[in-house]
Amino acid sequence: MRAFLVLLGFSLLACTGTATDTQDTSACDGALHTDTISLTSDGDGQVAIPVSLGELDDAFMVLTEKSSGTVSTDGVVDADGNTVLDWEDWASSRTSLTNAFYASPDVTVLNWPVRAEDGPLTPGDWTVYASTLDADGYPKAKQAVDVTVLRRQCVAGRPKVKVTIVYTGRLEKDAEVTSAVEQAADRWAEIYGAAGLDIDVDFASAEADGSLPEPLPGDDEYTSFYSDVGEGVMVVIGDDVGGMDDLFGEAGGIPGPQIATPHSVVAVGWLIHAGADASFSKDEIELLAETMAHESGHFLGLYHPVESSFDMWDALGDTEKCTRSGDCDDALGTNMMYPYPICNGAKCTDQVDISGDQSGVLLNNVGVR
Amino acid sequence: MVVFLLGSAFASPAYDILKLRDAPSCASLGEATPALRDELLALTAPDVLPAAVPMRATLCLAERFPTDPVVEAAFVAWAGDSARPGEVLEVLNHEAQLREPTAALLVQAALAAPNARVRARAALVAEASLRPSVHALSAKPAL
Repeated sequence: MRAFLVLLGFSLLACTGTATDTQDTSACDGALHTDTISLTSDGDGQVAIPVSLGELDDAFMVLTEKSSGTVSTDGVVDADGNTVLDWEDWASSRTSLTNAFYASPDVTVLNWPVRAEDGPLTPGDWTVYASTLDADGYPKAKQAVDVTVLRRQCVAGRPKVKVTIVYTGRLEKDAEVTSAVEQAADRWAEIYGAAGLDIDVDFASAEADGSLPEPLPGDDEYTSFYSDVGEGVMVVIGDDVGGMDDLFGEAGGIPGPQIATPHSVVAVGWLIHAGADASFSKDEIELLAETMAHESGHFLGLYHPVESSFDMWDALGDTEKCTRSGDCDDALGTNMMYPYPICNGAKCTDQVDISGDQSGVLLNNVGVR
Repeated sequence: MVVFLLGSAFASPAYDILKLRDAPSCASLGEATPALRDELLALTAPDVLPAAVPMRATLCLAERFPTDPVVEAAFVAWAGDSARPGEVLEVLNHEAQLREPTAALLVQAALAAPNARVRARAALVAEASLRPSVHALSAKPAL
C-alpha cells in the first residue's frame, strides 16, 4: 500500500547555542552526494565497494541491499591501503561499534567514521568490504548486491538533522497527543542542542493503522513514508509499537538507513508514555521526549552505554564500563542512552546527558549536516 | 496502602524487567503463579513510575492470566475507573485474548466508561470482534 504523508505545516528549528567552528569551512556546505552501484560478489562471496572521497567529504554511509539471503559488512580500507575497520576485531568483543557487521536480509548500514577518533577521512579511493551470505550465514558466491553510497561534505556552522514526526491512526486530530508530542519535540531539541546538534522538525500525518509494527524487514509502509521524507530521522507516532511487546519505541537500526527501507524509522508509541490515565503529565512528556531522543540516538549510531545485562558496553571511551546495576545507575543513570528509566516513588531521573564521545558519533552521521 | 504497594513494586523482580526500554517479554517474568499475578496487579497502580510499568504489567496480566477470575474482575472494574483509561485501552486492544464472557463484560463496561477515548475504542472493538456476544454490543447504544 502506498501511503502518502501530509505535511502539517509546522516547523521547529532549535538553536540553543552558537557555532564555534574555527576551521576555514567556506567551501563546506554539508551536501550529501549519492552514488548507486550494482555489484556481484566474487567466488568467496565478497564484495568490494568503491568509495571515492573528495577533499571536502568528511563522512560516508554505505547501504548494501540484497534481494535474497543476507549481507554483512566486513571492513573498511582507507585511501592509503590501511584497514581501519575489521569485523573480526569486534566479533568477540563485549563492546559494540556498529550493527553493520550483523547479517541483514534486506539492508546493512555502515556509517564511517563512527566515532570522532575514527576520523578525519583521507581523500582518495576507499573500499568497503561486504559478504553475501546464505540463510545459514555462510558465504554465498556470485550474488547481486545493490549498493548506495552517501558521501557527506563537511558541515559549516552548527550542524542539524532533519526530523519528520509522522502521526498515524488519525492522531494528528488528537489534541492530547499532538500537544504532548510538540512539547516533547521542544524538549528533545534542548537535549540535542546541549550536545551541539540542532533538530529541524516538521510534522506530517499518514493514513495508517496506529498500532505500529516494529521496523523489521518486509514492512514496506515505512519504506513508503521515508520516500516522502527523503532524509534525516523520521519519527512515526502510533498508539503502540510491537503489539504485546509494547515498546517505548524502536529505531530501525544502529545506525538507521538514510534511504527508504523498512528500517528507516523511529517508531514511538504514545499510550505507554501517557500511562494508566492515558493523559500526559509533565513528567510523562519528559519521558516521551527522552524516548524520542534515545531512539533517534540509536538511529544516528549510538548504543546503550551499558546493556541492562551489565556485561556489554558501547565502544566509547568516556562512558563508564560499569558491571553492576547500582554502580551503573550512579555513573550513567542521567545519560540519554541509558537502557531504562530510573524512578523513585515520585519522580524519574532526567536522562538527557550526552557525553562528548556520544556527541562525536551523532555528528559523524551523514544525516547530520 | 499505597505506600506499601509502591514499596513492593520497586523491590519487585517484575518491575526491573518491565521498566526496560528494550522489549521485555511477559514470558521472562517466570511461572504464572498467583504470586506473580499479585505482583503484576500491584504494578498496575496508576502512580507507579515510569508510566510504562503499569501499562506493561496490564499487558502481561492479559497475556499470562487471561482466564484468572481475579484478573478478569480487575479488568472489568477498571473500565469504570477514571484513573485507568490507559490500562483499559491496553486490554481492549487485546480483547481477542480474553475469554468471551469476560471480553463481553469488559466491552460493555467500557462502552459506558467515563473516558471518551475508552468509549470510542470499545465501540470499535465491539464492531470488529469476531465473538458473537462482543460483536452484538456494537448494535446497542452506550449504557
